[in-house]
Amino acid sequence: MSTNGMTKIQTKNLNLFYGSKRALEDVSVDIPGNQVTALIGPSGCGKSTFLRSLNRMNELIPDVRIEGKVLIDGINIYDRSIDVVELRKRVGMIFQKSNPFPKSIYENVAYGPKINGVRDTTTLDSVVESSLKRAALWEEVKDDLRKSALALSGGQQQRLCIARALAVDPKVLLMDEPASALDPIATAKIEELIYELKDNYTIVIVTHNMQQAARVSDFTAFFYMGGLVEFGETKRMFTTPEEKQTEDYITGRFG
Amino acid sequence: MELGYHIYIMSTQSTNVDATKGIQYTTTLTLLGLTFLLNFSAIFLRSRIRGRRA
Repeated sequence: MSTNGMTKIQTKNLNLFYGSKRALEDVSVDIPGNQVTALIGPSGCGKSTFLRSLNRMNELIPDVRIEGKVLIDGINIYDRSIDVVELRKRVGMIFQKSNPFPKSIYENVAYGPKINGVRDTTTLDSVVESSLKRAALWEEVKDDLRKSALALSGGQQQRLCIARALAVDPKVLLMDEPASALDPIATAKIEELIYELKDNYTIVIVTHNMQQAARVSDFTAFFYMGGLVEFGETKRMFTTPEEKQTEDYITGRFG
Repeated sequence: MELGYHIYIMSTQSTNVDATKGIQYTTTLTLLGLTFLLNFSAIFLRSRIRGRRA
């Protein structure tokens, strides 16, 4: 299943096993660059597993076996020669539960670049400012950069985590239900942010919220029982899905 | 540098930060061990070279 745009991420016959249980079954898909792709499907269908396989985070789970290929910019990330740390610098990840460090807002954002070798305070200041601006948080925190990140609201903490991920200049952003623990106002801000970020990043987002997938994404992939049922433009998927299963899920007949 | 970044990723980008705590502590221990080893090696070499010159 492919798109006409420039493909950023491509999976070829991706199979993933947790022990003897098959969690992903022959998933082949082309994810376009500088677009938002939503992964939808009922719980346990493999969408989060698929997301984690895009930056090799599944390898942290014991007894995982992966077959097939995942190509980012044409390079197989499961190749033996791939430096996993380098890969994860290019592919950032954001989760449902924000997890800022118990440090200041500034330190949270500057930590990644610092550990990446940036020492110059002027450069760090500008990285912090630009990351917070891109995460639409700058205006709210610019006078309180030394305040503890834990004093921020849930929505602000989530945007801080997005700023922290952006500070190390990734090319791909993976989001696993980034707004599911937030109130509608904070959710709207995150959705606006996702829409703005796609100019510079390729975004893959897992969501249980059909309206959210329809609002923020350009492409949608529907997973069911570890397999990719349908992939296509969001507008088409939500109006004229090709598969009966997709239609049933989108209209709420199951899931 | 890579070990430091690995700890950073494990603490910020892991689905379950608690589950990767073991990896984080082990990596930290390895990083500290390497730092001390390099420092002690440097101290040892310096004292040997100084001893020869004296």
